[in-house]
Amino acid sequence: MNAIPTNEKALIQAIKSGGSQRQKAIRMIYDDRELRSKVIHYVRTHGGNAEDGQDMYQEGIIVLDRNIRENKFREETSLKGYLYSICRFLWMNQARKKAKTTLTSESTPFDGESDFTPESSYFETERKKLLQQVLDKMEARCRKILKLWQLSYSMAEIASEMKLANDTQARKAKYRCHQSLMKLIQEHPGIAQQLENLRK
Amino acid sequence: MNPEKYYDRIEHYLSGNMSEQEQNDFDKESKENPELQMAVDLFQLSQEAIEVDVESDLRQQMNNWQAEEQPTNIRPLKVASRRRRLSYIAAAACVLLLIGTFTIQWNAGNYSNEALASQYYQLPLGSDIRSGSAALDQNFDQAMNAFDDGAFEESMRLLGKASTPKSQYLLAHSYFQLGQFEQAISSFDKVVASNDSRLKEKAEWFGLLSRLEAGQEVQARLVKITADEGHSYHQQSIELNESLNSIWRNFTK
Repeated sequence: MNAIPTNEKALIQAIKSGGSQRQKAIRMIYDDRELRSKVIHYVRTHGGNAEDGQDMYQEGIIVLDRNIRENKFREETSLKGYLYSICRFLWMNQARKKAKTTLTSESTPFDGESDFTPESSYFETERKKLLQQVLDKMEARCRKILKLWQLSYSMAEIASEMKLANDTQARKAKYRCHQSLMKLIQEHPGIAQQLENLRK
Repeated sequence: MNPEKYYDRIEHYLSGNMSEQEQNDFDKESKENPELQMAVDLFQLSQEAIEVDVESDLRQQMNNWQAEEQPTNIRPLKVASRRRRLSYIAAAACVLLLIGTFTIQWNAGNYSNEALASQYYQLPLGSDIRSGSAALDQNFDQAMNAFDDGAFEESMRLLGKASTPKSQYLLAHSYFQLGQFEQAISSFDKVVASNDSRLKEKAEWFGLLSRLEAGQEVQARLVKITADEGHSYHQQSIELNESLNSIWRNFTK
């Protein structure tokens, strides 16, 4: 297998480091016209249209971003090849859900998503809906602080972004917001069941 | 359950900052302590919730980038001011304005050069291009396969100097797929000039679509195809001509 190109390594590092570097890296990936055309072409030749292809490319980037940040992406594979396989797999799963067809060899899960099936995707979607309800109850400022923390911003960067006095204040704000989020989750009846499911 | 009690340790554990020994001890403790295990689950679920927000932001960001890519041929509407006492007229005007704006946006999306070219564009089929002696042309077959896989740059590399009309034709489609319309026009023109009977009309049509994508004038070429009833793309050319001269398209200009 080919070693991952240096420029791809830089993109991966930028996504991991978060902040504006992550934004720039994702923009570069998004602007990869050749890869985007390839994904759109794949979708168009497998029962979709160009718009579906564009959607799959975006969804693929979302999965890629998260997998890189969560260290699920094995860096010995090519970033472009990995993203293409994610998009292909997402499309095949979507098509399968719609048509209830059998999985073909092409829809082999990509690395890091071995348990990804239309069924698990359904439960994930449901869970996201519930979590979204919880998020909607939170203050916008708290949501932003938690997002920055999730994206690996340092406490000093969070303080600067949120106009807080210093990193100690940022840490306190993040703690308070996180506690508030967990409290809302605990109080949500639908999510209590999700917690139970996690424990099974 | 009191998750605050375990907060710092869980954060330390989930961020991967514990030593192997610490991790093992934590795993062992959480197995024996349901309250700790539940606090870990809750922490993870909260992170998942934040991730939903992160995803949502990224999706929005990419939608904005996509919108920036769309041609903006909508001119701002001038809305006449209305007196407050005629509020019902103002309300009606707002509704009409909204409908008008949506209509213009819809038309701009459906009648733009890009949308029309995309509507009439068709991917080339191997059977359209390959000749009977195609088996002898291994490079071309590989290039065609690469094209079918969406690997357009690889296809172009395999085509090399594209010395035959069919290679030039496939090269033109690769340029088109990559959005390099000027080069696509040049390649389609070369195919037309070669007078290859199987490809000439196709190249004329797709050359026209490439010009449309590139924002060039296409009327003269379109008239030529619409006037030729025997042309393979005669019917499509009539439809395209109607769309280009549609009141809706002109309305959004």
